[in-house]
Amino acid sequence: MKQMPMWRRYARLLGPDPAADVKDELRFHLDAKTDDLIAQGWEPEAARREAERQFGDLRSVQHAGEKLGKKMERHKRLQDHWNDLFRDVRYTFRKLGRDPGFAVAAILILALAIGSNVVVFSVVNTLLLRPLPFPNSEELVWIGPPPQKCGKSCETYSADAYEEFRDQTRSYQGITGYMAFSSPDNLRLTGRSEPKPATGIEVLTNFFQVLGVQPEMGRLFTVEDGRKGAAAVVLLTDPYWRRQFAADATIVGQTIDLSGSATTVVGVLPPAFDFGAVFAPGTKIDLLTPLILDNERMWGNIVTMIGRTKPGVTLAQAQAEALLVEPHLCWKVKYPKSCGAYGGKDSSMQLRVLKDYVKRTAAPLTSCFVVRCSDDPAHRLCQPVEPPARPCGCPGKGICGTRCSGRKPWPHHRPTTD
Amino acid sequence: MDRAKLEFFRGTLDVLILKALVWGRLHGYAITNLIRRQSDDALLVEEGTLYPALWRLENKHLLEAEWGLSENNRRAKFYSLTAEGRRQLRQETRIWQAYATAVAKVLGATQPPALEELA
Repeated sequence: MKQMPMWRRYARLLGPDPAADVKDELRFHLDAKTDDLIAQGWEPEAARREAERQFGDLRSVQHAGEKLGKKMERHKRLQDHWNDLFRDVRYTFRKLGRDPGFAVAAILILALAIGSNVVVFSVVNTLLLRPLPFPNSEELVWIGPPPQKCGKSCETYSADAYEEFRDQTRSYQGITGYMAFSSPDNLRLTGRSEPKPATGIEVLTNFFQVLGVQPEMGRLFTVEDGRKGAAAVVLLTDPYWRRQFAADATIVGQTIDLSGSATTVVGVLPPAFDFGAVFAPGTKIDLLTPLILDNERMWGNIVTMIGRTKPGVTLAQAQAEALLVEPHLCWKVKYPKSCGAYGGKDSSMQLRVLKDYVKRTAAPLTSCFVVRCSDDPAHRLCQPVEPPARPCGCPGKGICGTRCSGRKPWPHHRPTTD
Repeated sequence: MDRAKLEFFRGTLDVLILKALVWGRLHGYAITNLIRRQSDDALLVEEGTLYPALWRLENKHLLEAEWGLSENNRRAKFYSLTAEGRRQLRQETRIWQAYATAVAKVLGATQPPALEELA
C-alpha cells in the first residue's frame, strides 16, 4: 500500500465536506465563465444566465459529485485507518524486537489473561446465563442455612440429620446430596498404566434420579450401592471416559483400580452433566462414587442437601415445613443430647432455588477443609470421641470440622483446656 | 459541422484531460478552455461531462486535487497529474495514435487491398 504522508492525517482536522467542495468547484466554473462572457461584451445578468445554460443540468452533476465525493471520503478514511494500524503494528514489532524479555513477558501476560478470561467466562456462562442442565430445574432447591461464618461445616448436615429430614418432610419428590468435603485429585487410577490422579466425588445413590440425569451408558447408582459393604462401583463423567478410556464402548462392567480398590464401572454420565459447573465452579470432576452413609455416621456435617419439590409445592411451603422439621433433627440419633442442635436464629434453614444457590454461593472444591472452632487458643486439635453439644463447628462449642476427602480423617477440633 | 455536436468517443475525454494537465496544474474551467483552444475550437468539452470525469480520474488516483487561488483570486480546485496519471497518459496516447492511424488508413484508402490478402 502507498505510504500516506504524516501530514495527511491532520488535513481533515475540521472534518471534510465533499458536498461543499463540489458546490464551490462548480460555482467557480460558472463565475469564471460569466467573467469571460462579460469580457466579450455580455450584460452581467445575461452572461450569468448564458453560463448556466451552457453548463446544462447543474443539479444532477452536483448530485453525482456529492455521491462520488462521499465515496472518496470514506475510502480515504479507511485508508487512513489502515495506515495508522500498520504504523502501530510496525512500531509494536520494532519495539518488541528490541526487547525480547519484555516481549516474552507481555505475550505471557496476555496469554494468561486470555486463558483466565475464558475460564471465568465459562463459569459465568454456566452459573448466570444458562439454566441448570436438569429437567424442571425450577423444582430443585438447596436445603441449608444461609451462608455461615464457620463455613461448609455449618451449612451441611450429618448422615442422621439428612435421613431424618428426608423421612419427615412431605414437600419433596426426593432429597439427595453429596459429600461436601472433597478435593481435586483425591483418587488414584492405577492398574492401566502409570498411576494417574483423578477427581472423584461421593454422591447419595439417588443423586441422579433426583436431578433427573439419565446415564449415557450403563446404569445409575441404586440403593444397594449405598449400603455398607456393597461392592465398589463408579460412574464416569463423559469427558473422563473419553480422555482416560478413549471412549471405550465396552467400559460398563469393567473393573478399574481406584486408589487401591477394585471398582466396577456401572455407567457413563451424559456430556451435559457437569458436576463442577453446577456445584463447584472451576472443578473438573472425573468420576462419581456412592456416598455410603453408614460409613460416615461418626463424622460431623458432611452432606449437602438438594431436594426436588413435588409439583405444586411452592418454595414458601417447603420453607415453612423445613422450619418445622429442623428443630427435631439430631446430629446423631443415638445421642439424644445432640437432638435439636440444628437451626436457630441466623443458622436456620433458608431454602433457595438451586439456580440461585449456584449463582451466589457455589464455591470451588477446597482441598482439606479446616474448621476453626474459635479464636481462643485454648481450643486445640484432638480426636473425635464424644458427641458434640452442637453438631457444627460454630465458634465456641462442640465438635468442629470434618475430614479431608479420601479415607484419612482430618483431625477434629474439640475445645480443650490446656 | 456543428462543433458542439462533435461527440467524444468513449474514453477520449479522459486522455484529453490527462494531456491538458501535462504542463501543470489547472482548474476545471481552464481545462475546457485549453482543450477548446488546442483543438482550434473543434472540441467543446461539456461541463456536465467534464466534472464527473475529473472526479472519476481523481478517484482512480490518476489526478490529485488541491484548492488554490485562480488568476483572478477566486478559490478554485486545481488538478494535477500523479505519476500514475502520467503513465496512463503515455499508454493511452500510444493506443489512441495506433487506433487513429489504423482508422485513417482504412478511411483514406483509395483502392481495395490485394485479392490474396482477402482470402
